[in-house]
Amino acid sequence: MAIINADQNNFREMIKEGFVIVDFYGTTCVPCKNFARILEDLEAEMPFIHVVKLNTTDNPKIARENKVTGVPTVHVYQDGELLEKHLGVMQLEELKEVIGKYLYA
Amino acid sequence: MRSRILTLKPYDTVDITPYRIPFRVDEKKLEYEMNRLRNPYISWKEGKDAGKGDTAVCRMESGLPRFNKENITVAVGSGMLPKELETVLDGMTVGESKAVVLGEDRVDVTLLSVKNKVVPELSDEMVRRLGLEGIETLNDYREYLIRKQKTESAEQEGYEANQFVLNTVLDDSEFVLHKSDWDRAVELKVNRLRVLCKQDGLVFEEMTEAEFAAGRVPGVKCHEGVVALEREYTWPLLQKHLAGRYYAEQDGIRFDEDNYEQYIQEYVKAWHVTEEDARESNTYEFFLMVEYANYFGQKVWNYVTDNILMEG
Repeated sequence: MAIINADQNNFREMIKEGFVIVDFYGTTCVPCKNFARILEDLEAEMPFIHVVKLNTTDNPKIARENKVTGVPTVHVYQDGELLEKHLGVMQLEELKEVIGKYLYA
Repeated sequence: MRSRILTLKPYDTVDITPYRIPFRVDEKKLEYEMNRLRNPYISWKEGKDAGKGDTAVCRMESGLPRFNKENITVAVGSGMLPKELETVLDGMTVGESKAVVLGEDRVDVTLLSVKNKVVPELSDEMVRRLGLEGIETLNDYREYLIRKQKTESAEQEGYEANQFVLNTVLDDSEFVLHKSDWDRAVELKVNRLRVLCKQDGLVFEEMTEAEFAAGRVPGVKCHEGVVALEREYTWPLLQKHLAGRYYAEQDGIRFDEDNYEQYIQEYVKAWHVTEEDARESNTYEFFLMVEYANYFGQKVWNYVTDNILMEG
């Protein structure tokens, strides 16, 4: 696995299976860039966690459908079902807490 | 514009010694950033023994439902499992089973497969691939990160000193400000607000206290209150505009319609508005007023951030 960029054509496909963390981000959003680095760190430590990134600037329809009101917004899915959402940057430890809650609890 | 400067106190003669702070390199942060260079080059190799950082797939059998799982993938040493389990996984061989006691319960762990994390040595090539201008080696990158730390530190600490320099320059300079220029500047600012409100489906003159508060103007009861605030803010803005014009001329800088066009395009992108709306809310005259004021503000900011840190 790796961090995968999705768009409106494949977004649903990307989240329908397994445990997936989605990062809704904006092109010019500075906190989103910081969060991207945190996701890279997560990938370096836990490469088996699926991370999907969706650019809301380029894909506003998907953002609207998912009620994304600000960026970055983080959604956590299990087999396509939304487990939780978080508005704003999540630190690595916070992400690990969420992963632990659903994968190891 | 009839307003003009009589005397202007040079901003770089304002003493900011009381605001200066010591700077020390944050070695931990530096090390973290250096190590991040390796991230894109980390690879995973099928292995036999599990160690810290590796990805292990195991079977856990236990009376505790939480630890009764087939094919559970874990990052060894990530701290996401109880310490006892993490400890036992570290050093296990594929096919091996071990029992762990967790309080009054027991978990049998079998290591099914493991992927060893292969972390390459840091190299100049990793730095070159970042594509940072003039940054070719690990040493260059280290220096670059230290410069970044300095900039961040100066920017975090510079706010008060910046206000002090701006206020000192404006207080110790002499301006002739014509009421007609002041009125015009206020009119430009208020017109802009009127247009922004209209674009949001509101009528500026009819807005309520709650609507102003929602638009981040708390404590204002009606539009007259906003106009009064703008009159107050626009006086120093006019002074900064004049100072900005002075320094821009000294530096051979002139803001013109090309800059305006570029600004409008950036505004459209940043605020997701139409070009027509961007132009309506940001007239050329308004742009020039603010741009020169910002030019002065940037000169002061650069002076402050260049001088606020003491090495050592």
